[in-house]
Amino acid sequence: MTLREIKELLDAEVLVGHDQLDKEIKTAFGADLMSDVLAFAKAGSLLLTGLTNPQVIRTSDVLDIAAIIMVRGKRPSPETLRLAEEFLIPVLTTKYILFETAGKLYAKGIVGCMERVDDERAFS
Amino acid sequence: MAVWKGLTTNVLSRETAIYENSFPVEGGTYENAGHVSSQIKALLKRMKISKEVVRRAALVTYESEINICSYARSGKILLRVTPEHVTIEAIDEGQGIVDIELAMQEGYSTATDKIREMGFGAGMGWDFVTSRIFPISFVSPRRSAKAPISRWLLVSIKILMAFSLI
Ligand SMILES: Nc1ncnc2c1ncn2[C@@H]1O[C@H](COP(=O)(O)OP(=O)(O)OP(=O)(O)O)[C@@H](O)[C@H]1O
Ligand SMILES: [Mg+2]
Repeated sequence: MTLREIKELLDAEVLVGHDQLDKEIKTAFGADLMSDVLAFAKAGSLLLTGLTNPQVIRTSDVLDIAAIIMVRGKRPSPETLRLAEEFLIPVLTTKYILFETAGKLYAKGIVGCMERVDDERAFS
Repeated sequence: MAVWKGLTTNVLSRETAIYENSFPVEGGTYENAGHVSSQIKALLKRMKISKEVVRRAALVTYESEINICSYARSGKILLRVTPEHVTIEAIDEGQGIVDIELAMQEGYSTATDKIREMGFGAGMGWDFVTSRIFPISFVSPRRSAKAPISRWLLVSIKILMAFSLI
């Protein structure tokens, strides 16, 4: 799915990255805990989160996250947006809650960046 | 000093550095938390080091940096690149880690509410760094003669890598 299709699906607003909507997305990870994102999210994945502080962008930069969807209508601070612009990481915001956001994406073929945390193959 | 697999500082310091730098990290605040990791990541990228190594180096730098911001007064991250290895070393001055084995366990954390508010403090950092992501790494606590009251903490993570400089 392209980020543009995801934007339509989630009735989302693009806050950063209007020029990157053709990006192709295949996997996603959802969490409100950056510790979990660091431990489990994979490069090129979409990040679904309700956190909006600048650390979300830093964490995404480190992991090469493709784009961020802020759920539950969350809006980031100007500092968070500035960082996202600096690192060229698209940020979208949707009114859907995390569960609904994930479900809608899954129904369209987006899968988790891993299935289970005890799946050793996911870490090789 | 616990050495997990192979490499020692001795072997690494015998290699000639093609890049070496120290980046200060401010403790006790998240004002700039992560900016050293971003800098180091960009630097390694420019050196045309393989994507996977850059990713791992950035991850371990970030985990170390966030830990310094969370738990220490001040610290620094040392980056050393030789034709054979990228070495990331995090050194800080603060409370230190009394029980390294315990700190390495998944789920162990002494994070405050402030740290959790930022999205950290699940006690997962060192566990995933040492057990899953980095095949070669070691951590060692140290007491500084200059700082008899506060403990010094020295955490070194070495990442084995192979890259061509062209
Ligand atoms: N630089 C440090 N100085 C003092 N104590 C530390 C330092 N780094 C880690 N610790 C201690 O080790 C514990 C475990 O660290 P670890 O990075 O694994 O988890 P965390 O930082 O608490 O949570 P997470 O990394 O999942 O966000 C910390 O809670 C803290 O008590
Ligand atoms: Mg940590």
